Amino acid sequence: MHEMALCRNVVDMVSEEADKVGAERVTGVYLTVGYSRDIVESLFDDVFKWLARDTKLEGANLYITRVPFTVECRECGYIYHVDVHDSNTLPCPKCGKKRYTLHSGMEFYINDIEVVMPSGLAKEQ
Amino acid sequence: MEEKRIIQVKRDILSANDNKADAFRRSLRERGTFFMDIMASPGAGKTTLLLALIEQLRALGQGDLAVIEADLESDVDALKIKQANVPSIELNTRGVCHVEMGMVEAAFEPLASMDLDWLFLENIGNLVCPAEFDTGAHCRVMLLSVPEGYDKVYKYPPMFSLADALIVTKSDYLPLNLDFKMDALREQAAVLNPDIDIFVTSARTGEGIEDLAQWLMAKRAETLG
Repeated sequence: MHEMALCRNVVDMVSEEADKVGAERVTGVYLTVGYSRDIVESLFDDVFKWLARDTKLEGANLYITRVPFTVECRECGYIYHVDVHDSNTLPCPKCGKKRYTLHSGMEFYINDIEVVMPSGLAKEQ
Repeated sequence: MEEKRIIQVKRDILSANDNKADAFRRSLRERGTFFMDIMASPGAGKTTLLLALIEQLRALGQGDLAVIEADLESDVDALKIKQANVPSIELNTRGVCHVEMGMVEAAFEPLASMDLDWLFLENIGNLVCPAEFDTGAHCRVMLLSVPEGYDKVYKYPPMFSLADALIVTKSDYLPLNLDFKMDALREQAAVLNPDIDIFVTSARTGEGIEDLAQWLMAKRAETLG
């Protein structure tokens, strides 16, 4: 249950970015999260809603894109997908060896945010 | 009609913690302090191994050590360490399942005036969450005890992927746990982490403790340059 600590960072960073551009409120937050990050998406969503109360993020939608767990074979360099729920996917499909380094799956960043600008500004344009 | 805009952010969610961790690592290196983080599930034997390791390091002439003992609650472990005449700080996370940089920095404050060669962090007993948070350590090790069973690698991949060393503890229980397949553990750990060093230890019999201490001293020399 570390979703709270991680989500607190998200809310803080998004607030900071929204303030930077003078946004009135935030309506969407787009995250990219690698599959090797142990987060429970539904819980992350609930915690996000809770932490967003009384901030510019209140009511914002959270969109999480998961990046698959892929590895690079240390023997032949082939990059392939590993399903941690299926040990048959561990060996390299090309050379059959089981020695690899992580290629993707540890991503954890805020990609974009969708914000509403103050109405005065909108009228001017 | 309200004006909506998409703002590109592209920021790492853990960057605040990671930056603090890098700074802490650097500052300890400059002071000549080697910092090791010990992670494992509850009951794997973190405190007991740490005590055996400290005794061994002392026997090898290493003097100035201190321990940050992280637990959800209580000072049970910090007292055990103090009884061994090692300065220890109790870091109670009050229910938080992992240790973050803010906690490490606060816990280190009372130790900051000491001239330390070694600093240890006994992380929260948990095989999941601590893996997500950089603690500013130069070296992170994980423990797996023989009674827990060998088949944990694929169940807790992040922890096994990031550890510099896997320390199998309570090896004196091997004759009682015939299902513990050491070769399978080695093979599976190498799949997730080809560079991982593996030690088989028992704090009770002393098996493997000296090898581990030597490995740590080499790591320390390598880190501090």
